[in-house]
Amino acid sequence: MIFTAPSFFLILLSFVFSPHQPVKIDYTVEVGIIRNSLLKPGTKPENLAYGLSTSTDDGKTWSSRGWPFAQVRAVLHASSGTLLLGCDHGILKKRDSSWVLTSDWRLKNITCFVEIADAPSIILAGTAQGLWVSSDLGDTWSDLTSTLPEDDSRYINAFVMDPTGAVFAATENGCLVSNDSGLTWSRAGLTGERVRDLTLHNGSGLLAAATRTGVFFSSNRGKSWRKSSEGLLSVKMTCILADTARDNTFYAGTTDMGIFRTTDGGKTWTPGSFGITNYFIRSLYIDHSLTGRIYAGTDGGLFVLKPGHDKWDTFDLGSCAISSIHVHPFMQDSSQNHE
Amino acid sequence: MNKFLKILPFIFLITAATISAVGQTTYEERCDSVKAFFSTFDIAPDYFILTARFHEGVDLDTAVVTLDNLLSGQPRGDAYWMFSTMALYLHGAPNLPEQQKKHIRELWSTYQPLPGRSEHEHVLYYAALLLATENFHDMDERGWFNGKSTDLNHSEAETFLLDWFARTTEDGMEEFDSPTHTGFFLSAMLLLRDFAADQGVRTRSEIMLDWLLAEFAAKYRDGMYTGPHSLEFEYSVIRPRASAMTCIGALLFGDVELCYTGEQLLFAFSSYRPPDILRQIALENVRPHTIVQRRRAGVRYRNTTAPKYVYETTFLTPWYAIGSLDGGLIQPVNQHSWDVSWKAPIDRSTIFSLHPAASPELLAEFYPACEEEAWNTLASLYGRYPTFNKYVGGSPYEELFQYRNTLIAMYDIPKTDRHKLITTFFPHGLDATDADSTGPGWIFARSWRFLIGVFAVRPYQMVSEPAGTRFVSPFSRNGLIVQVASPPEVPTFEDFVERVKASKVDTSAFARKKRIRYTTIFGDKLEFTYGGARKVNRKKTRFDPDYLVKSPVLTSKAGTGVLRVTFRKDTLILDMKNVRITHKP
Repeated sequence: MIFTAPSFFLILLSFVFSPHQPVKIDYTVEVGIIRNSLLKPGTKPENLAYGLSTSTDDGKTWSSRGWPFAQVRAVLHASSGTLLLGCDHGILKKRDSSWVLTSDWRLKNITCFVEIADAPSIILAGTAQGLWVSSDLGDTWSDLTSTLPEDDSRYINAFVMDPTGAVFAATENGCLVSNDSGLTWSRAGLTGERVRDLTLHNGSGLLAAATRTGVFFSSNRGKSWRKSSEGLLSVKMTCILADTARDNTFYAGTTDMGIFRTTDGGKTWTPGSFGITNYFIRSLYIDHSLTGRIYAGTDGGLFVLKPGHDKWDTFDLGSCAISSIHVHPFMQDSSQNHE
Repeated sequence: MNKFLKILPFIFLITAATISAVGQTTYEERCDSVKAFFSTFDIAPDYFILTARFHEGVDLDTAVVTLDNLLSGQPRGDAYWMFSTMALYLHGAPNLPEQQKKHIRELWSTYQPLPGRSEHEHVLYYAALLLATENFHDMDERGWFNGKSTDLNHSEAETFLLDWFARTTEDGMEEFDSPTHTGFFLSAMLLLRDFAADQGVRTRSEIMLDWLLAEFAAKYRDGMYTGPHSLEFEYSVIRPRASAMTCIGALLFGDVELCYTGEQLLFAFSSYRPPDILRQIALENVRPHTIVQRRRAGVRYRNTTAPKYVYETTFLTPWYAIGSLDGGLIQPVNQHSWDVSWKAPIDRSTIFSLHPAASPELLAEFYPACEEEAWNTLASLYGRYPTFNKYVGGSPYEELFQYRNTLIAMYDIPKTDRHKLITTFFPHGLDATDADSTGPGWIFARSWRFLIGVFAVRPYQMVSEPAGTRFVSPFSRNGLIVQVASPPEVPTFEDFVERVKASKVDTSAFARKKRIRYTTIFGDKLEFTYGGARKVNRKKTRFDPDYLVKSPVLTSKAGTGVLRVTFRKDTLILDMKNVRITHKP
């Protein structure tokens, strides 16, 4: 019997979440924070949620890492163990017990990272003004902006990599694709659209784009796109997430109407924000391997949708604006306190 | 952090007490007044007051206690904090105890200031960082707040500054002509000129100082930094003698009463002496003339293919100055696109108009965050940005055409815009006003020697407000013609009104073609089409992109890094490329 990656994933998930075999899993929920916020009125400064905030007790308590006033827009856990924070003022790299600003004034307004699959020491950083590359795990950076078209394509919002290693970039002027680790780029459709996020459904190969005018799908790697808006109550999209454990299922976040879900590859969308109190959705994340949960980072807090539930629960993280979410196995890390 | 809180230490003393004897004091005497004022001012946890105390050695025991209190609090202010602590560290050095110096160095380890987004914040940040790396000798790699080595921090700061010196003098400045923010640039240049280890950096800083002051002197009138501003706050837009540059002008030129602002201290403590040619230009350049400048627009994150340059025209006489950008949006929140300001014994001697554009999409062109975040952040930071009655802000739907002392403003505001109107600010205290009606027609005003006629192309209302009278014209397609003069151009107000009324205004093609024709009171035939040609006496006008500045007193060709300052028989040549200042008397 041959398992494809997604189906193997499904089998593993069904084993993990079998109601007859409860398995205790320790995991860390980790969020990048754009705007600092006190957990509760009167909270001591040392309990400020900022930078990269992590919880190892299912959101009951949080500890923060990084710089207190940095606005974290992107987080990269590279396969080498390197941890990078993409901030408005540059890139912070975890080195020993401290954070080092590895960029200078030219590299700022970081929006996204991608690690090149077949050359893990190479990391691309997308910014509001271009593209940078590091070939030494984020210690030094070189400007690749000139490889991009001279227009709003130089504002990169997100990367997604497909199984062939091609990197797609969501930009403020359509999608771009690179087949050589970011050295050259070509158009991949949606020119003129402000593309805020991209996601790839590994099972179907369907590429989905969240834009300022709605959601688009491509089944041919960006050669053509179809608009998908049936049931969407807002077209101001912010983020999109493929549920690779379920065929044709995607979640899309908006700036003003919360989250929408499709289970038919975008033919129809239904609202899916029950329990969410802030409808400006900034990030979505699905944790297939550990909990099966879906997380929503909003402009005012973090929410979680547990398997089998239809109502989102909130985490006690105050009204932070959440830019990114990761869940990974818990590892004791003595440096997780304030640094 | 609230922007106003950040700049508070710099401007809080502007309206404080003044000294008399205007025009009779020397620069040195005025510097002494500044030093005495700050060093004897009520002690407060403020870096400028403490810098003055330590520099002058006044009541040091109290100063040490106050400084300890200041340093023991949570640092805030990012680049402003960095710069203020370095100014104290360096200028206060003779009397600053070692323990307090050590405390400052420790804060540079534990507090992580951010460089901010704007040009002046970057210059303050890297000027302070450069000087810190040259003076904090006991800091190792783990000592610096950003985890970088001393050498790397120094190299980055120096690279930034050298790049900024070159870019600014060859391609122009982004935050130009700001009555408030120019003070930040001057402060940074003064501290670098006085304390940077490298002679090249010191000389470049002095060139930059002279350059910025030459631009200021050329537009200085009666305590005002006249003309349009790339950015400014509402307070000083309607009170053109209430900015940091008013106090700096008073210190440098001595023609108006001395008021006080923190930036003056850096002049007062410095051995820098402004070349006298700048004072002459500021005070003795009585011939009416026009200055045309190519200006760099603000950094765009979206709509990046928009023009990178705008052109600024300023016409000056001894009695008034009228200046404008050629239109469009270069800084959405604080842009001041045109005004006329004049010499008069009232503090609000200025008139200007604007379309109060405000939208998340416009903000997002200039701020890297998405539209909603930009709106939420900036609308809370600048509470009046979304309002129709604000006094500053750029609009992409405004186009301006100026020829000498005449200006035509046109607006074509989309039906979907939040505010489909234009406003014009008229100050209280005008000596005489006269308007035909509230329909299309002329509004006349006199203020001391200054005469103005504003032709409203569409009907309007006049609304009285605490700061002045606001002209409001609620029409999407709109326009104004502004004609100004003063004796001896026109002898009396009555003559002016008569001549203006006799001049030809043709708005017959305004509704259909967005075109206005006007023959000035001096006989020049102007024609302006929104989105189209600007003509003077039937000839199309064109700005020369090869010049950063062109005027009888200032000339700089783009790309050369050289500014030639000429007045009478004096010439000052500022050559950034060759790092040379040449004075030819």
